[in-house]
Amino acid sequence: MRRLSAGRGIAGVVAGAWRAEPSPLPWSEEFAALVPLLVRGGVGALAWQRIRRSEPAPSSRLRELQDAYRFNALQAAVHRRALRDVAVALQAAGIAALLGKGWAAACLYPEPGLRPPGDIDLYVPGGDVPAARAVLEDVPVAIDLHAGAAELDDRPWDDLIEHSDGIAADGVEIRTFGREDHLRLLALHMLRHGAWRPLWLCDVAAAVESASDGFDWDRVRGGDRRRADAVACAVRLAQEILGARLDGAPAAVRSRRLPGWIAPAVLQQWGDPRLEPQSRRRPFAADLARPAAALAALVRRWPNPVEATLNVRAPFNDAPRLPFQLLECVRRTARFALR
Amino acid sequence: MSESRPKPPRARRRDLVVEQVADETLVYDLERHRAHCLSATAAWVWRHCDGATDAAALAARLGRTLGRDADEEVVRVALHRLARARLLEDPLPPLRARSLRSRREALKRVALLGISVLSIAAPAAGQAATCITRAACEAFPNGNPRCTGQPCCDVAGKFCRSQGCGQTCCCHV
Repeated sequence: MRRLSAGRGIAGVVAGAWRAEPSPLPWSEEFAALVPLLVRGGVGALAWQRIRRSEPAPSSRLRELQDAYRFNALQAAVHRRALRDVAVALQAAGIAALLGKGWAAACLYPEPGLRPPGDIDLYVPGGDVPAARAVLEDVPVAIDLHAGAAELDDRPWDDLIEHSDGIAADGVEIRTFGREDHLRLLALHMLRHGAWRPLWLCDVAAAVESASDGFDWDRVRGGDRRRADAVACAVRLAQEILGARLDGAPAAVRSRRLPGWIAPAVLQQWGDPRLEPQSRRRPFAADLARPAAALAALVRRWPNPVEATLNVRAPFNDAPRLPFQLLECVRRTARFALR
Repeated sequence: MSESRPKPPRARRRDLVVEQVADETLVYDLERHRAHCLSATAAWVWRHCDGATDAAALAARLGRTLGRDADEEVVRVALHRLARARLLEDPLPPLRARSLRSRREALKRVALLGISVLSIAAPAAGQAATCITRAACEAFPNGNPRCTGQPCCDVAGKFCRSQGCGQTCCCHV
């Protein structure tokens, strides 16, 4: 219950914070208690964006949020510089790459300091990975090189390139996923990781609200039907939890009913101080030697209902999630055993 | 015997990324992976460290720019803060020992002029989406450009860096 209410508190703090003129939020003791969770969730700067408008008195907790904003702004500048080198190097090698999530998602916000740019996520066709890796070896930032676009593999690579957009990084153009494909990528990536970071839902909200004239919702909803429905679910979740405006969305998306378990499952994760996300866990093999540690590692790996539903390609409906969570466990164990 | 005059300060420019955000100047040190936030006045002093203007001349120009008194002592304190953040090319001579009272007064004037050089703490590992395992970090030879301060998954509060490590990169605070 405490986790759920902390999760709700986080949702209240970041609701609408991705907008150019968010409403001010007064600083309070309750707010101060949420700071570690806000920073962990990547939304420290978004919280700062709202709180600074109420002109609060300085405090160390507040400084953490302000530093998150400052640090993001600097990291975005570092990435912009690195991306220029990345774009030039890839173009010289004749490799067509697309930028997604991270820095590309930060471009959805009114200022670069509002979102941590994270890694540079570059997507290249599977066959180009070794060449791209060699070209990018000396680039001084963490690059996450993806072979193909996993979440978007229900559409051909050439089609993704054809619909891509260009954004400028220090005067050099780099290609990113088209707005529709990017929304789909952001939504599916968030669900695949159980939506544990509030930042990812803010990304979805910012992408939906930046959809202006010419935004092709049919393209968002095209391709694999189960994935299309999952994307609609993510968009509705952004509306329900964060108050995202769905004015331009089609009725089929606006009226998509959310299963009752999904919002509490997401909020509980946001409010759980002990949450250990997948990308940060110790490798399971490291715990195998000690039975107690192995058991604890297994408990930590129990899939949350959101990721289990997406990963076993189950429908987002009101049916109990336990069978899908068990199935996801079996799937992961099999994958681990085959490695 | 007269003391040799110290070299006028020169701002460091290499391996820095500078970003202006509202009235703050943010500086990222690509060599040390440290971030700093300079107030408008501290940034003014830093920008005018051209290697030819000494502290007294800087103080006179700062005073004219701000339209208020800015003495040499205040500029020296600002320069020492910039030097401590490694934002100057050469080390500075130590500040002259002064009475506690006059030092306190100088610091008060520094505060009144809004001269501050803050170190920005890297956010907790949680802010970065992915982390690097200690083994993967230590597989990079020291100085490899990939050791950019990515959080280490299995060592809480530490980041994969070159600084303070041996032959390979390591998970370090």
